[in-house]
Amino acid sequence: MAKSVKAKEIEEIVVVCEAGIGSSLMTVNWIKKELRKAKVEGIEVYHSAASRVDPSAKFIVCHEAFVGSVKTRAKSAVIVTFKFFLNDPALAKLVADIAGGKTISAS
Amino acid sequence: MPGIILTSRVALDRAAVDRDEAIRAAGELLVADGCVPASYVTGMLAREQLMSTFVGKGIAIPHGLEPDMSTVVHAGVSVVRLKAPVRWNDDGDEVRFVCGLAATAEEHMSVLAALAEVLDDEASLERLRTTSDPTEVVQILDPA
Repeated sequence: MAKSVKAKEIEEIVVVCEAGIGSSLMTVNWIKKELRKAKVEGIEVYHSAASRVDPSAKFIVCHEAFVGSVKTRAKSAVIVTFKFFLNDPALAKLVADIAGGKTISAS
Repeated sequence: MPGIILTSRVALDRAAVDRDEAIRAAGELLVADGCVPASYVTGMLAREQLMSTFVGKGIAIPHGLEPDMSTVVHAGVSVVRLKAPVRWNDDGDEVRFVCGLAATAEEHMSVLAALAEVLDDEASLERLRTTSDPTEVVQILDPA
């Protein structure tokens, strides 16, 4: 069964990239901005390098290139993958689903 | 505190035949300003192989690999505007603005935030494309 989490149970979104100083920061900013626009409050969004992902992370947004190593580290996390740092359809859907209180499934 | 982008880290209308040459140009500006050692540029090239740092609107943000971060001497961002765009990735995206990033944490966050604004602001993009003044590039991308 695919992993999933209810929108209201998400407290943190960890955005993962390789080094964690470039693209993932752009994505963090983008998600924060979109959540604000959707009037969603109370969710922390921050980035992490792929090699330092907290093994207890519950909800991770990750570029598709790094999902393999992230899955190995954070075994119980729900992981949503994306391809573009900004304006990615998967990220736009994620924000809409959170705002709409839906259940989010791992991609 | 000095800015993250200095005019010494801006090169306008550099010629480059391909992506790697463009990345080297951006990396060498960071090396010349003492932000990073020469090995960081090798990391930038390797990082780009791993995954494209194209962010849209002809802009890419190459930077080193995670192990390179500990070699950063001080944070800085370089900007190379190419004379002509180069093909950047397998998706066929073309890049004319190469913003080389060097940071240990989030010192350059303001520049990335400015960059995100610029991506949605055609007037600023047009100024970046046409200006002949490095100071104007700094004003647009490092407004703090």
